[in-house]
Amino acid sequence: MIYLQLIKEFFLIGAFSFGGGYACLPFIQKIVIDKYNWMTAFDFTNVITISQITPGPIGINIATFLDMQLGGLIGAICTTISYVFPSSIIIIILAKLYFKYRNLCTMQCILDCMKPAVVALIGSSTVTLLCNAFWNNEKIILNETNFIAVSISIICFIIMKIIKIDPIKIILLSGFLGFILYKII
Amino acid sequence: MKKDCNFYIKLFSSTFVISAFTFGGGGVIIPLIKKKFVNELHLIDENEIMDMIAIAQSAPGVMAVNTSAIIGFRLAGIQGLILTILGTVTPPLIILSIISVFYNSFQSNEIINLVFRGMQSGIVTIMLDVTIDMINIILKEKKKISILLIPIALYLTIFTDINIFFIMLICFIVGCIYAVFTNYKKSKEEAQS
Repeated sequence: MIYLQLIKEFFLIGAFSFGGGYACLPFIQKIVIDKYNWMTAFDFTNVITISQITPGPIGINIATFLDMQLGGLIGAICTTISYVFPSSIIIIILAKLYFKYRNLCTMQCILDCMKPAVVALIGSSTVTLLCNAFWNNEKIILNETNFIAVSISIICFIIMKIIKIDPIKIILLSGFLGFILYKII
Repeated sequence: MKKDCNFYIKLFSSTFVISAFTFGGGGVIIPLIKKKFVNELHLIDENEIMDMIAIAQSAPGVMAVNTSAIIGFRLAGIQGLILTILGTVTPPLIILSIISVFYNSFQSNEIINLVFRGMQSGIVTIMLDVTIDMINIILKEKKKISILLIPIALYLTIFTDINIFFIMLICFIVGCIYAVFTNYKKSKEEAQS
């Protein structure tokens, strides 16, 4: 029974939550805590924390971890499928429209105005993460800058500019540098 | 590139690896997808990827999954879409299944915490690079309306709590008005000549 409820609820979230992983959080919270009483607010906070510190898209992480707790592995697989299904259909329709009409002036004008929003999304995530990494998400004060974090970033940036390197290797390298530098100092 | 077995494996493995090593939501994964498919594999060109991300963002659901989906669809149709979606969702399924069992010891492990802190700096660097890159792409096109909207959109996302979807919606409406205006100007010019 819980499987069916999970599948149904995540299908609806997948179809109606615009704005990415964080935007779907309030919906999930309502369902899990208020509607079905599957979890306490404290447990739900743990779900969010774990989803943030593990790799992968936040939305998928939350769905998976939640279902592992509630319905086990089969539940998690079913929910993930029902979660991504509606948006996949919508993507196919939008992509078909785009590839058919992308040379139209009207389409180009609309896309020209939407590209800045793409930059804004990624730019704002960059700013949030940068403040989190360099100043622990507190006030931006020069004396309290995390200089280890800054130097790892600078090293990575220089390497990226000198050689063409796979971004994944940069992330692995920074993890390794982090372990060594934070351990020594 | 020929669409043989290797091509499909590449499609799956690229999205799989990105999803397995990237911490954070769509805003973090999308820059990596762009870097991989545009700058490294050269399968999609710079302007096209911006259009595709814009479309992925205007659909509901998980943005990182949507972006992989549209790239898969563009490169190899429905099969490609299924492969890239699978590539994006399998790592979380595996990793979280394991972690949900060892949840407490994982959270307090010192080595894991230090590595994570280091990785944060690396991810920030890549994202900064991609943001600058994207702004450059738009500047190169020299379209006044796009250049004008960048600082406005950036201001709204960084300093206000407005959901990114509404910002997309505002940009879409501005785009429609701009399209009507451009079409009107064009038809007027044609009538004159």
